[in-house]
Amino acid sequence: MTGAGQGIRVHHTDDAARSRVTVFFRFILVIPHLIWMLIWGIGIVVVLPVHWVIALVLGRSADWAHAFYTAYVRYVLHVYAYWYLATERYPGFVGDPGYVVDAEIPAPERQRRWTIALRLILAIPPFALSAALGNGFGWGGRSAENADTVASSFNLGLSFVIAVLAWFAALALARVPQGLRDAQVYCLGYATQVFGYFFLLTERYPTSDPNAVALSPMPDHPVRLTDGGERSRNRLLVLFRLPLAVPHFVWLVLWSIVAFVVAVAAWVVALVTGRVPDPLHRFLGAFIRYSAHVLSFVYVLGGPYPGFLGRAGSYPVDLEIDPPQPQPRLKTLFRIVLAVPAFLAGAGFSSVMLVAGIGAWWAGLVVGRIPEGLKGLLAWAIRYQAQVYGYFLLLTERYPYTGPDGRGRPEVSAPEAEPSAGAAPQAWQQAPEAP
Amino acid sequence: MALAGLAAVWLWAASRLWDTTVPTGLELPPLAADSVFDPAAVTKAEHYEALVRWLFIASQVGLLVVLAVYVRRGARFAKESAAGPIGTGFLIGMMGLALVWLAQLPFGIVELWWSRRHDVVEIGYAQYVVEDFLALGGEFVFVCVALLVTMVLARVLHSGWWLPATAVFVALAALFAFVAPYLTPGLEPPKDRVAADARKLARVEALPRVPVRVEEVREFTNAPNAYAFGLGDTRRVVLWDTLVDGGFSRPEIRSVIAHELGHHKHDHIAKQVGWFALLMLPASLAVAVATRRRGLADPAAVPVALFVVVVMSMLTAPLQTAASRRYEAEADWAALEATRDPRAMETLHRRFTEEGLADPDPPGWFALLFDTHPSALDRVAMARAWRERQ
Repeated sequence: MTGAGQGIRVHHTDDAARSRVTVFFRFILVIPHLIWMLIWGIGIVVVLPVHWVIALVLGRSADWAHAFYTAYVRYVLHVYAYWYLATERYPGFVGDPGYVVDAEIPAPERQRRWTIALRLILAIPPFALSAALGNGFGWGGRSAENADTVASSFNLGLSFVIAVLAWFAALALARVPQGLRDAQVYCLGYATQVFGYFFLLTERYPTSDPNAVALSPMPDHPVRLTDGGERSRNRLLVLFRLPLAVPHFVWLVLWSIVAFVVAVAAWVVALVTGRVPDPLHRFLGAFIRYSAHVLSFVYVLGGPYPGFLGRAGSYPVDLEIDPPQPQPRLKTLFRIVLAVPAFLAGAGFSSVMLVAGIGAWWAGLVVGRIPEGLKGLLAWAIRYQAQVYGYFLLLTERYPYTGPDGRGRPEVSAPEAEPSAGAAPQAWQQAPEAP
Repeated sequence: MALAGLAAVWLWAASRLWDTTVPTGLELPPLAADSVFDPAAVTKAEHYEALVRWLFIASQVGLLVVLAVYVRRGARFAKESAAGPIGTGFLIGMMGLALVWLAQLPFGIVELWWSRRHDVVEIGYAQYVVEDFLALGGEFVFVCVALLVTMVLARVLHSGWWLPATAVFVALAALFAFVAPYLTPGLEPPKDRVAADARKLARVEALPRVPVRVEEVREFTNAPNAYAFGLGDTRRVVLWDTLVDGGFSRPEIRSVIAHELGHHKHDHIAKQVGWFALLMLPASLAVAVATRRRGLADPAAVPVALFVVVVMSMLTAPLQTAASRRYEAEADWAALEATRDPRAMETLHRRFTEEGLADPDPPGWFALLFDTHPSALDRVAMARAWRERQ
């Protein structure tokens, strides 16, 4: 499979099969690579100022530097892909092309000098997103009153969580589930784009659009997200987004208390009858849909102010939820335990949503529209969270799908037009929530 | 006829709420600010408060202008809503307040600069803006609750919504007054000496045990302050740590505690709920009249409703502040009766003037319209009047 789009493109030829032995010893096996990566990395840091000055003078990176950094970026991708179980084959030590998960990096090309000069600053937002998609980020500080009190916080990175989950899954199944593998390829691919951009291998800004990476399509799932929204945003609504969402938070808390009680009832009934009754399914479905509406609004994925009832079709970013189906009683009995890995991955997605949401907020505020990449990434994250809660609250027995949608970017037949007052209303505008 | 009856009941209730226990005909001795307070402190306080006062006036004008424009344009936000009519009403109401916040922000920042320059507050600009911004969330919840009540009642009762809505708001205000102490975190018991004084004063004022608590505010401000809140069993007196640990003498702190207990002794919190009921009644009626064409069930009527509420609040401000000043005076009188220490009250208000930079004798028009407390000069005069009656 080959990635679509321009700039640095990541692709894979992995078949998901894994050897349990190499998976079990994966961290030990990768140690020589980590040592070599560290040594090589020292050289990368030392050469970087020279590389930057030459690129600034020439308006492009020098051939020798481009080759040096290309090999390193590719090598790091190979090592992490192996370490984080996105591949099975042991990688080489020189970053040669042709590995199972690999990057196509464009040849040296002219770059605008101001983007070279400001590359460090320009790379900060994608680095922040890459941290959320990678190993996470943390911070700490001392209390103002008491110097001995240290407060700290650490957010799990998606890639790291997926690697841990993939390790257990591969040991049990001798293969990595498609969703975990594809999510890992996406995360590593984004990091590769970011480092390639930072090391002046390309001028093209990293895109976080999951649709820009050709991956296996998501299998049918009873909980699906549809995003029919525009990218343009009302700046005032973006500016006040957080306080505007507070009434929704209050309502969500109240609703979640009732949803908890209903979920317990649904659990008991499903244990007895093997199926969640329709009214309970509808109630819990509305709750999860409402949560998705609110999350979409908070993280600027959705433009308009959402309603309070979670009605289907009432919001441009919506959930399609299939009717209740019979569920195996054993899976129902252990649902809380079974949901733990999904919640762990959900924590990784939360970090991603936070960073992507801040980016979308800034973009919405400054340019009045959100980038396609962040839109796709946020839709993926919110869809995953909805599937986690759909699984946890017994809407379905199908496990949440970790990977991106993978169906690729839809064909664009005409240039995107700015919305106008006379534009035809969208589905959600024709079916506003009542009351 | 019904409205006339309602007006008669209104006047009777207002007269009952207006009464206080401050002796009728109490003559306050005429005092000159410079003869009571340090003239330099008076000059400094006047200088400080002059700008604060004009910033306040300007922000009120800004508030009216923004809402007047919002009446014409606010309904446009409906197209940014995927919610039903009530949810859209929420959005329009919240955006109205958001724009008011935005318009008043420059005045707030100038006032912060001025206050920092005079060492009245210590918070930074970024902290001020961020905290004020986030506090909007709480205000938005209140607006949504108010709109939920009015819009639902307007859908059911049409133009007759205003009377039951007033009843609901009063019930909510009473409930909030009751639970407010539970919603205020971080209140700590005072040191033994203050606690002992509080117990003794509560006995003197014939109150059951009213807990006294200390709130830490030093991180944000140096100004000393205290307040009473709660109803019935939730009654509390709260002292800021800037007062308790701020170098005030024990008699001065006793005077403050006695004043706050005086509020509870005379049921001022309940009476304030009573005033809220009396003022809500004409305000609700005015909103109902102003929105009668569309009906308040229509979210497009929300900007008009907001504007009318703010105008009514401004029009009734002199009455509200006058009632508040009477209750403060009554609490002062109760404190003097409990402590029998007019000197402590005098020195206390001297220090408030010096440390809080409160103008001891503000212009009459401003005090009439906006001051909720008697001036420091009047409070010293009351202390002296009490002493003369002994």
